[in-house]
Amino acid sequence: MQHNFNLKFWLGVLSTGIPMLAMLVAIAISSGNDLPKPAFPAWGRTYLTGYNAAQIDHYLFRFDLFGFGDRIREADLLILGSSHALFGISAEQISTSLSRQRGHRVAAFNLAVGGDGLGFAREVLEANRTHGQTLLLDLYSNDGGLLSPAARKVLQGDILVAYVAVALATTEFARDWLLDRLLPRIDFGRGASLRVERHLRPVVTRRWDNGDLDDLWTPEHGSLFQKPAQTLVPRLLIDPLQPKGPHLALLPKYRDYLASRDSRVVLTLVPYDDYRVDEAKLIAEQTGRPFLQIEPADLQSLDGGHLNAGSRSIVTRRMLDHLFDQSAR
Amino acid sequence: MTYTDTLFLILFAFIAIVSAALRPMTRAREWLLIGFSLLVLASWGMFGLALFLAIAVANFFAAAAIVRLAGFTRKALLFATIAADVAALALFKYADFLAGNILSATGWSPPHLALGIPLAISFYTFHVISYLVDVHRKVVPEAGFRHYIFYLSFFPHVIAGPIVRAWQFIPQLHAPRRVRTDLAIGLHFLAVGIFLKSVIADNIGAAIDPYWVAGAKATFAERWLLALLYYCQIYGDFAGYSLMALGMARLLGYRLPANFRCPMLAASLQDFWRRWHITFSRWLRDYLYIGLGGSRRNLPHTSINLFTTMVLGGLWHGAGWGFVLWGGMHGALLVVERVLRRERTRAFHRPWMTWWAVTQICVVLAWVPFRAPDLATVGEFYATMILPTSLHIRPQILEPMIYAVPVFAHQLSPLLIRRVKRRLLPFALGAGTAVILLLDVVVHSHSRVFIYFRF
Repeated sequence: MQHNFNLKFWLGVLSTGIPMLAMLVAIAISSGNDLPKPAFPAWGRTYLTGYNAAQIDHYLFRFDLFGFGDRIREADLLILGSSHALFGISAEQISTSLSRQRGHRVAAFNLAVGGDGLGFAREVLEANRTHGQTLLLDLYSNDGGLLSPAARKVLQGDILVAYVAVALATTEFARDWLLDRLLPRIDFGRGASLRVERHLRPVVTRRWDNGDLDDLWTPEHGSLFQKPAQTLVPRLLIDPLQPKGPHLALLPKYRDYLASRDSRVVLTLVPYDDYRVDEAKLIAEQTGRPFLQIEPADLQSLDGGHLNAGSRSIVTRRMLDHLFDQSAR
Repeated sequence: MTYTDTLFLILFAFIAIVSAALRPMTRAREWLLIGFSLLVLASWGMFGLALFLAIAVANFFAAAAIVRLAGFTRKALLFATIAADVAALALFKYADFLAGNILSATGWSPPHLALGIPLAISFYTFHVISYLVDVHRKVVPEAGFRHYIFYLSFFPHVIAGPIVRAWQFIPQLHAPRRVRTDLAIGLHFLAVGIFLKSVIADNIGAAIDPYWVAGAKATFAERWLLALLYYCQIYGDFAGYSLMALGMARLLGYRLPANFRCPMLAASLQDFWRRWHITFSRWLRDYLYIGLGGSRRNLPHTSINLFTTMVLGGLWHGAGWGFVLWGGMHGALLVVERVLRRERTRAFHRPWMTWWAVTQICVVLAWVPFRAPDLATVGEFYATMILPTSLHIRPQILEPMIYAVPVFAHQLSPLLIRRVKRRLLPFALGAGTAVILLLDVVVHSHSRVFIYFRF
């Protein structure tokens, strides 16, 4: 009786599942979206930092997972800030230029984390017991001690929670990466009655050795960071509630914290739409820290706020020119 | 880790295979499953795991002592241990709620503990209390530590139920059964559970959440629809989770009690509670309602017992007046129902359809305080729901109804199954499982934590 049940059950599974699977594969293939999928992150070269709504940098940096703490401690210069600094400053370029200028290797690491700023960077610096490094701080959206909800959640967790969070995001990504263009993703009942999409969701990858942004891939646009901008993606990464520039009200906190560190702190502001450089300069003046002003001309952004790879290179070069000028003086 | 995460499902598949391979080695198999259960708890934070182990070990020794004692000391130890368990639950779950209410009532601010609610504490507290009482009542024999911790930590039920009694579960450890249909039925439960949770509940939640925030505007018809959709969401979420738990347990060779039985077909509140969160309502009946005196005395006493049980049941869900109100509404309606039954009023003899409609309207209304963020929003909701001002429904509130259809269909599934010829049933079940599994993979879902994980 039970044997008969099992036989019929699996017959039902196969006889229905196989034709339905074939139909879904046909839908995926004929969906018309032929954008190549992103490269699978290569261990030791690039890593997954964000997938869909999950962000894992917070865990990697705060809990010193997979040797990130060592790379942060070993860096001579750390780039701090939000997604603007992540998209807009290249640690590799800084490292290459400074090493050439000084005649010895100068390691730089991009510690910027999307949605956060000095508040979370502070936690990472303390947790990894860094000291004596040069800190290059982008002033956009740095809330001087305030933490994003994602950062607060991370700080309440422990190392096992951190490993699980990383593993969760990685397995979700790996599953969708494998199924992408084999099976569709079907969305019912939001605006359009039925929408067939790519299986993969937006992916952000970074460089393993220096934390630089490797790429941002979306199912609608493919690789967004590495290719030159054709059209702006409206409000892709900008939260409408995000402050639109430096936070003057939190100036005292910046001053106190920056004064308390035994690090050389250099301030900057990566250009974006409605570039509020005067407020950033004011913060630099009030805190008594050097400010690297960047010319906003001829830069391309993905969404009005985040630069692409070509513009990141220009911004970093302009920043380094200012830095060398200041050192020469 | 939640049970719909790919990582969890991969780990579960691995554990299920290893556990099947270890079937002849009972001890090794049980320790493997205990280890995995503790890992699942730890994945939400080491503190939660430490607290669980501390409470579990303390109750194990208390139960051992209760078995060996007699007379007054035996009873005193039982009450002291239960009091300590309830105190631990209250400290973590209700201390800040109480402090907030003291502050608003007196202006004095008690110390803010901000301990956070450890995962699963409400559920395992109920488990340990039932174990203590059942050991005391000699309903179950004292379990060895391995079986006790296995029962308490078993991952399919530890976080959000079903609330399993020791007598339902521990005997299965002594005499494991091997049923050849377990794989098929377990897979079916798992697939349907994931579908109800990921495809249905998460998508409804994503669509209606913006309209449940304080100050959100909606018309008469929209408010009713929002309350109905929340009913569908919480059913999908919790019945989905419960089915997953049953499916996972079955795939490992164990049986857990069912937690839902078509609650949307209930034609009375009493019937509703026999169909909704069944293991919870049975727990309340056996350990609280009967403990308070049950229906042994006159109607006023019975009514007070019923009302108190439901209010405490509401409060168990969370520290908030909304939950108290939800429990109170159910308690009051159960009392009214009992009075009507007792008096055998003419209203009582109305057709099933009328009672069904009245019951379901009451249930939908009661979900408002359960879901709304505060009592002011509850007031706004009820004010709009009572006065039929506008029947206009915005498309974005109407669209999630597409996800409510499978919830209604799920209520009717036992009737449909009865209509399928017996010899065709396994085939139909297999075909349905394949379709649902593929839908689980391809339908877009806004991944969210299970609602009952918060309790």
